[in-house]
Amino acid sequence: MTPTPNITDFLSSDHISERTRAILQQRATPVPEDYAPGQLSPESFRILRSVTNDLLPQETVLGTQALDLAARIDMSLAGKRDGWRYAELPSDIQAWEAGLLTITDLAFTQHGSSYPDLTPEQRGTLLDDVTKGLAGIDQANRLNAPQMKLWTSDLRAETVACFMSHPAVQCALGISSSMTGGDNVFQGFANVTPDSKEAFEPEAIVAEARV
Amino acid sequence: MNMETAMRHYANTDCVDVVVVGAGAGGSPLAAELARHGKSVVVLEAGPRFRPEGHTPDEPVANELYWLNERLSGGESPQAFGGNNSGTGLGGSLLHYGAFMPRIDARDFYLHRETGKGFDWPFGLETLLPYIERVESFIGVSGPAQYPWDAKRRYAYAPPPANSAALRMREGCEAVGLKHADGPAAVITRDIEQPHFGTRHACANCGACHQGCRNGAKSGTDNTWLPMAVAYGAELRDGCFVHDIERDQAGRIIAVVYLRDGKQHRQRCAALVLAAGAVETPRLLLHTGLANSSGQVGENYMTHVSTQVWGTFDQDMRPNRGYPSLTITEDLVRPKDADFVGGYLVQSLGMMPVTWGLNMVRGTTIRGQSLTDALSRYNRSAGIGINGECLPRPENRVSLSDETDATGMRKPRIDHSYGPNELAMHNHAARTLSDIWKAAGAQDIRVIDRAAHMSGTCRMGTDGSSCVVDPVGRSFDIENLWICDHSVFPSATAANPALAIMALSLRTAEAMLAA
Repeated sequence: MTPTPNITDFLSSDHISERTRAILQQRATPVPEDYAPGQLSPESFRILRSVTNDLLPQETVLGTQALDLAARIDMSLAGKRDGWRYAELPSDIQAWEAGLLTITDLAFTQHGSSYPDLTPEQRGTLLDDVTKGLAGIDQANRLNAPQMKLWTSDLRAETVACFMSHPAVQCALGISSSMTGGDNVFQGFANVTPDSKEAFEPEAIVAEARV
Repeated sequence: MNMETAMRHYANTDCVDVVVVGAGAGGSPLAAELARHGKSVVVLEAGPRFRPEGHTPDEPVANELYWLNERLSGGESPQAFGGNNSGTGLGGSLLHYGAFMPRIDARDFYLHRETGKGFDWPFGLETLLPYIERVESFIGVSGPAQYPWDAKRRYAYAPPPANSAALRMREGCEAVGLKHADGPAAVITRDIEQPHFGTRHACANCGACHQGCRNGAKSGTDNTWLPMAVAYGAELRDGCFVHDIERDQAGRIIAVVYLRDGKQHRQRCAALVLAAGAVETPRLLLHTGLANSSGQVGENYMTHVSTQVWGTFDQDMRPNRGYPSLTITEDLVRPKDADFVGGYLVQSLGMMPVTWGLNMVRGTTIRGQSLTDALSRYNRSAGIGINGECLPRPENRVSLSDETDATGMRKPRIDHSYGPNELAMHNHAARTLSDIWKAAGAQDIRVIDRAAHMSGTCRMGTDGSSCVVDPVGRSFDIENLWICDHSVFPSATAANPALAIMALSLRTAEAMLAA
């Protein structure tokens, strides 16, 4: 059983600026368990939950405290986007809805049941196929195979960005990137060479992260 | 100094000598130089004024430094925008740039003469070198005491300390027989008083160059050229998005029209300088239909082949710490076994975790526990990457899409496809970098196929039928219009663009003063 990271010490470090601390504290606030999607439809949101679990299982990092990545993605779809999109895709929110419904339809067409009800192997094969541009649906409000290849790149990116930017993940993996310095003293890092962790930096609790 | 209280203000009805659109590497040196010589200058910047102390290493929020008006990315190798190529705010992309500051190799100015491919600059290194040296001296660049590929070169600051990736790259290069050195970096390593700005502190090795430098160590335009411009009477106007250009009957520019706080304003001017970058500069010209008798506005969009190789080490590497990209080798600017023209620079890579994760996940198809495990090895990771020549190709261009954004202008569409030369260079780099990294002890080696930076789209040259501006940046079509950013680059070269942009900016300013 993976220990659960305790982020209280991490967030109270004087190597974190007040602005950064406020950002991280807000991000550390759990998403309500009954979160209802504000951007995606209930059906596509249900698929997104399942897809993010398959894409990026969290147990080895966060134990039982898994992040609701689907809810965080739905929330981020409402905000300022990253300044570009693939020309071959519709607007971000339309692409996400269409991409997820394409996965739903492919699951029914190929296996006769909903994506979350497929076996792990079936889900994995389906995800690999759309990621490599081998499967899609050529009709309105769905994405064809080349579009699925592009959109799954966005899906993967958004999922990983939500995960790696979370303070609990940074804490569990021993990542000190938020600890560039405080407001009164901008410490930076005295040590930058291998195997020279400074006392204030978090120690990874995840086996894969340790040497 | 306090740029806000000390700053001169002009009325919209004043006909200022020069309006500069864009406060980045292109517009800022020129604005300072023109103001220093007594010209009245207004700089219109679309983005906000950031406070250095307010920058945050938190990557999602640090996106505020990026140009976030939506662009459509097409072609066979659609490029990611935002981070690593397009900034916003007083300081432009230098607010988030990595500050890696190599000079353009002398051979890269004349690639066509050398190989029959690409497009030559209308002058060589010897013409640009005096401006390059002025830029390096004024903004502050660190580097080694002896630069292995240029015995005459001197840097005013000692290099920052080598981080984990930089040390591993030294070992890898030695094992495969490549020379290496601490690369030129636009960060200062001792405290100084910057003229017209105030105290800039030595680099604290915080590693968050791309999220904005909090102590002034990184040499941007916000802590160098822009305060100088203000000291000599220029006005910096933030939050101003220029969307129209007015001309008189004779075709000379008389004013620009911009949106600020949702209202339309009109600034009169005697001359206009566009310094909005390789997408927004041609976008404005295509939108207004100006300066395009050559048909070349938006054409010849170029990037850098920016292949990366990452690996895992049996050490606690902590890739967020230290100046991210210190070690360089210039030995591959013309590789002996190349099956392509031009060449590339290699640098070591540290990286912040979200950027690193995004590169990995966009560059591979791994999923499930393998992905979780790969992300979990962040602290054991280090990388190595290139910037390489990207030839101008007719397929690669900036055009106006059919969609309109909140400014009322059509969104830009950027088509970008690697050609045979870029693919061959990528493959060569993937092999070479993997060899270096294996020799340095890396495991789980991953090649990331990516392009970075942007240039071209308003080509500079001597022939007005095939170029948009002349060799000093003046429009062939409109006598009082100048372009001063990387859109004028005739070729991409292997060097990161910021130094050449600033050098060209000083040169264009000199030409404007002489005109």
